[in-house]
Amino acid sequence: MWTYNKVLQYPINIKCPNPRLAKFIISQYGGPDGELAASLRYLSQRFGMPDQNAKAILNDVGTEELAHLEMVGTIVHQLTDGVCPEEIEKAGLGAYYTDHGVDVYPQSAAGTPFTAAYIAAKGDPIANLQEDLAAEQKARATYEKLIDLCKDDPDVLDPLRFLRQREVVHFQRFGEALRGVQDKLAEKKFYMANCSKKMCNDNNNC
Amino acid sequence: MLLENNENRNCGCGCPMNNNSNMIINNGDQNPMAMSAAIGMNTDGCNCCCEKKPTPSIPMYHYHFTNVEPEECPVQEETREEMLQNIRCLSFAVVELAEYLDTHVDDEKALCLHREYATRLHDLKEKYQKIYGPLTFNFPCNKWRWIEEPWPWERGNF
Repeated sequence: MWTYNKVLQYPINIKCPNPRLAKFIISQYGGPDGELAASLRYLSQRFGMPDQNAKAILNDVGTEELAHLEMVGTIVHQLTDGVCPEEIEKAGLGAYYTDHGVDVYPQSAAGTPFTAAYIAAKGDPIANLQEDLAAEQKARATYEKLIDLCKDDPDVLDPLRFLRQREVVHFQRFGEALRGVQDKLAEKKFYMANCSKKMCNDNNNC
Repeated sequence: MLLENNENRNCGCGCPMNNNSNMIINNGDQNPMAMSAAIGMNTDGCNCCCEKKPTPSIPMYHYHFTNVEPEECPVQEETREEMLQNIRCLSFAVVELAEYLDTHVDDEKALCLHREYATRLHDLKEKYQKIYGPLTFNFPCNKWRWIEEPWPWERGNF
């Protein structure tokens, strides 16, 4: 279970609303490499991990991604809060405004609504961890593109740089977890609870 | 891409330590010490829980608090913003160390740091919540203060 902490992981106080930037940054809320996809990816994959380190890191990074989801949502909210519809439309958010007003809706920068197709849970710990490594690099690359687009506003740039840095650290931790899982799977005697296979072999309930 | 930085982790402080434990730090960013810098870990000499260390710093980039008004709480040794920033820094250090420990469970130095920062975070949160209201709804109150303060996205406890 989770308990909400009424404080952001990194402070965000954007003084100048700028819906043009919100249009891009929303991709890290509900886009293919966004924080929602990241948290769901790790929290879903943790159930099938074969060792304690991998379960723990997926659990804890998945939880931190939820804090990042809140940060990105806060950035989008503060960039659009109190902006008049004319300004919203001028920023290219007319279609968004039609369906969502200035609520924070999980979608990509191009307007594709969030889909679980962004994540995978492959039933294979090596494949899953490799996907996670790629996901962290893609998120880092996305933040770097957003940083290029948001150079004018240090209030926006600052949290984006923090978020980018976290992707780099998580990549490192997943690499270590992958190494541990590879070692575990290479052990001479390895028992893994794969329920579907186990039941068939037991000849009990099959 | 992996870069191993093996070093002697013996801090000689009397805390249970594995003298031969190695710490592998690499954030993949051409700056393998970024994590230790971020959480105030000194890579040479003793930096264990027996020493009083400054509050670890979150990697702040160009951020400046513009709303700090110290005269608002003259009786407090720290302003609300300072306390909050220290809570955020300690929380960050605890998150970073916890994730590190998930893949380096035998690193006694990291464990020692986690122990210290987690204790200080707990104590500081208690102190903050008694004055300014709850940060989680687990905090016992005589009056329901949970909904009084603005939410983080509304610049409350931002």
